[in-house]
Amino acid sequence: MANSLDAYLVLSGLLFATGTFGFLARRNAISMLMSIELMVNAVNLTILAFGAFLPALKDHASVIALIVITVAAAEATVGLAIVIAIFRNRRTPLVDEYDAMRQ
Amino acid sequence: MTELWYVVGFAVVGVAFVFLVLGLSWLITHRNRGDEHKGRPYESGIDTYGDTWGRFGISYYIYALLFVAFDIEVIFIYLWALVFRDLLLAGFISMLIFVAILLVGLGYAWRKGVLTWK
Amino acid sequence: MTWSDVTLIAPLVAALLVAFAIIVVDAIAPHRDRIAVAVGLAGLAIVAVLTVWTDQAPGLAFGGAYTVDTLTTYLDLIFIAIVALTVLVGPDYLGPRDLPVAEFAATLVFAMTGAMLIAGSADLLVLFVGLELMVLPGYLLAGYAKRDALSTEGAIKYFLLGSFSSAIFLFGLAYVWGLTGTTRIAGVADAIAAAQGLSPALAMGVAFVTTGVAFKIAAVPFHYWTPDAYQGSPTPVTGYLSVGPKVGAFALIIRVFVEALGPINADWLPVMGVLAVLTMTLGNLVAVTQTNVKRMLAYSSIAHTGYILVGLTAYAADPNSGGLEAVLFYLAAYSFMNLGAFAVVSALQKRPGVTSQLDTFAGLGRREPYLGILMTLFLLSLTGIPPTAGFFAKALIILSAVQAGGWVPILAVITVLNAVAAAFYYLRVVVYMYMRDPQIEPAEVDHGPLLRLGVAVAAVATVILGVLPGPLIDAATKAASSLFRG
Repeated sequence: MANSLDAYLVLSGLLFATGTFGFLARRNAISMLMSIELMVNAVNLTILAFGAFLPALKDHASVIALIVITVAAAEATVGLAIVIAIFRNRRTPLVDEYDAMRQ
Repeated sequence: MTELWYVVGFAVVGVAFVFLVLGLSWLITHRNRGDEHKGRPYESGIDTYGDTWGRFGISYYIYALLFVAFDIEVIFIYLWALVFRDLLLAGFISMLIFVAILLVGLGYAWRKGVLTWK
Repeated sequence: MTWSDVTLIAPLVAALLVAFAIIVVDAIAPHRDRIAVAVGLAGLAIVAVLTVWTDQAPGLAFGGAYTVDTLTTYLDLIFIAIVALTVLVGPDYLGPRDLPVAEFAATLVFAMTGAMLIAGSADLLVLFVGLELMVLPGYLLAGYAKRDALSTEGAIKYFLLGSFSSAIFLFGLAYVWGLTGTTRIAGVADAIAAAQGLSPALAMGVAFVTTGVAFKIAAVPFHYWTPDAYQGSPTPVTGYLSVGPKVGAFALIIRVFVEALGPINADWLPVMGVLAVLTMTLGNLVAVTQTNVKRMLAYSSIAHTGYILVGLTAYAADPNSGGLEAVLFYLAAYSFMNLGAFAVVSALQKRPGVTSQLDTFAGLGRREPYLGILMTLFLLSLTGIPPTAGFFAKALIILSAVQAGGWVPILAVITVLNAVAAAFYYLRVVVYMYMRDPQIEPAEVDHGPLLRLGVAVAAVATVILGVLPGPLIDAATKAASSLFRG
């Protein structure tokens, strides 16, 4: 178990679960964004683990991981831009208080 | 095995460099000799106030955003540099197109006044 | 990279160049909205021509990562039409609110490029990049009125739930890739067919993919972000969001579920069936209670997702039931009628401060007969009354569900019941337009020529598809038969 594909998949699964929990439990937009990043990093760990332990996937793994990193960065940039915009309007990062449309 | 020694050598030189620079600056700077103002980040001017948890102006974040957006593209340039010799002219032109796309984005941000400090 | 690679991706490259052309024009001559819109529309026409041109010589590009088949062309043309109509409708709403028109057009075209990349992807990684390229501009567009609290609030909810679902989808993709050993869609299908059944790990991957996709199409119970994102966004953006990313997500579903996961359609069939029933029923039930037309149309778009899922379920139960053709026809018909309805709402809101409450529509039939008649047409089409596009779209879906056999015909019955329930809230708007007098007489609104053109095009398309659906049904059939089936 110690140095096997399963161990890494379990670890990345736990990381992903941590990120999911963080997303669902935190109420600060920035923390939620960080939780999403944690989930994406868990995915990257999964990909690299597959690549490291399955020789047939070795070449593809790093390319996929790099593209995922780039996409995640683009996503974070867009997200932060939106957070800045809403912070200018509302002066709070807490999503519970974004309830202007609640009926 | 030689590769390992390269790494060790690099590490030793790297660490030594840090201490060398710190030591040099320790030698040539003034030291705090009991004067309170000498221990401050800025000796002259008004005293600093507040703690380091103060909020930054929102303008900083816009620069940070631009930085993240452009910095991450370097990933592709690193990979390209690794295999540059095999790609020949087509690879060079591809990278020129890639950088040109980024430059259009930067130019647009510039033209729209995003880079002006407000 | 060979020459055929370049010619096959020519529409994509052209689309990117159009977006760049718009921002370069805007950088050189700021605030000349007409020039930017003209460049955008001319560029979109070129992209459409190139799309039809590449369809003459379909094939795989870049070693099998990108494919041009009739399905790609069909979906690409829908995306181009959606973006062109939104570019026509947008300036009339954005102008009076001092929102930049050129960036709006450029952002839309970038999103369109992503959608086109999804439609033509033969590789899961390309598909993911296309998905992100489609949704990221969507988040920005949702928050386009950045000084407006509602717009930014809708944007942050859309963004957070959207990237959350992207991460879930990606996690599923990682497992599908790791366990089948390939990112090529055809390769994944072969590997799954050869394995004869799902291993637990692969089943988990497929479950994550399904959850991520369900978020993207706003299927119940993954729809919570939709009403706020749609209500908060500037109205032309809402129109775009209710069709563009939705058609894109269905393109993704066709590529992933019908192609890659085609060999295990018996496994995802019940999931789609349950999602379809929940989605259309809940969407309609909540839409009935809404008094804000934008929010009502948001819930009704959830219900339409449910109808489309019925077609997909019919396909999964029996590939010869015509379910996929029905889905493709529905996507085209829905795009025109829903964009048309939102275009009318956006026209009414030309003056800042006008809400999209039901009262705004009171007396519209008398005040602005042209808009009143067209809005009635779009609402009748959304209800599914002949002779409109919506009628044939629903009819094809219901027919395919009946033909699929097994328990799927039950879905046809539920679809009919839902369509009847939907008639109530769609026709209520018509009642308001023709039989209620406004409490305050609103000021005259002068609509721009572009907006008139946009609404007219949507209306003509809705009528033509309702009177002469034959050519589009043929095209949908051809597109469906061009799919790779492992």
